[in-house]
Amino acid sequence: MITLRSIAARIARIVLTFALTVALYPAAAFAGYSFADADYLTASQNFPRWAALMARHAAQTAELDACLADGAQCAGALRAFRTVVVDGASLDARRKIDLANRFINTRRWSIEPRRDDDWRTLDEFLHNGGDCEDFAIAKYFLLRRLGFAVDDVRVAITWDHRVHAYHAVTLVHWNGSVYVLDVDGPPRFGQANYRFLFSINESGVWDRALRRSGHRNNDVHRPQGEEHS
Amino acid sequence: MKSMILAAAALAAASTAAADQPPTSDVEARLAALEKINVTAYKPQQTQSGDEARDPQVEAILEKAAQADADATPPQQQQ
Repeated sequence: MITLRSIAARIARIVLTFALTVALYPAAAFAGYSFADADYLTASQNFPRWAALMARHAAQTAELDACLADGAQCAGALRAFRTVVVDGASLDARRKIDLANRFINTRRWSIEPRRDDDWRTLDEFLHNGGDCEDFAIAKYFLLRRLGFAVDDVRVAITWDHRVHAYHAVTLVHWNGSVYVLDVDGPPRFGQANYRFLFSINESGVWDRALRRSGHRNNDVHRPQGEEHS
Repeated sequence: MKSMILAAAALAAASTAAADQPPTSDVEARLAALEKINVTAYKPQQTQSGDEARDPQVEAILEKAAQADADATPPQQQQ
C-alpha cells in the first residue's frame, strides 16, 4: 500500500538525484573540447548533410584551384580568398589561425530561413555569405587550404546554454591546445557557455553523447589512422 | 519456373520492406538525431574585437584582401 511517507521518500530521492545531476553534470558537459578519439561515431560520409556539402565542395574545387593558380581566374570574392591563401601560406600556424578567423569573420552575414538549415561550401559562402555554421565551415576549409591536416580541424555544433540555441564553431588542434574559432572575436581556448554536441570533418563524426552514455562505438566504417594525442 | 518468379517477387518485396524500416543500429539512430539539429543564426559576427591582438603580418594580408574585395566590387553609378 502506498503511504504518504513512501511518496515523500520517492520525491526526496528524485530531488536528490536531480540535484546531484545538476551539481556534477557541468564539469563533463561544459569542459573544454578535446580531440580525443573516444567520441568517434562514424565516417562523415554517413552524415547526409555533410555528404551533400562535400559533394558540392568537390564540384567547386576546380574553380578554387584555378583561382589559386592564376589570379585572373578569380571571380568576385575569390580575389580576396586568393590573397589570403597565397600570402598566408608563409605564416606560422598560429598566425594562420588568426588570419582565417579574422578574414572569414569579415564576410557577409546572411541569415537563411529558420527551417532551411543549409550548410554552405567555402565557395558558396565566399560568393553569398552565410550564418554561423557557414562561417564555421568556411574557416574549416580555409584552414585546410592553409595547410592544416584533416586530423587537426573540425566543425563543432554546440548548445549555448546562456541563450538556449544551437551554434557552430570551428575547432583547431595545434601545439597541444584546442582553439575555438567563433564569429565574434579572436580564437579562444574554450567557451564556458557552450556544450559541445558533436563535431565533424572530412573523415569522421564525433558525438559527445557517447561519452555521457558510456557507449563504446564499434562502427565498422571507422577509418584507420585517426588516433589523436 | 513459376516458383522461381514467386521467390524473386517475395525477395523483392522483402527488400522493399527492409528499406522502409527505421534505423536499427546505434550509429544510425545517433546520426538521425544529429541530423535533426537545426543550427539557427542567433549570434551575428563581430569583425573587430577589443581584445584581439594585432599582428602586422596578418594585418597586412587582411588589408590586401580588403583591397582585392574593393577592386572586385563594381563602382556605384552616379545619379
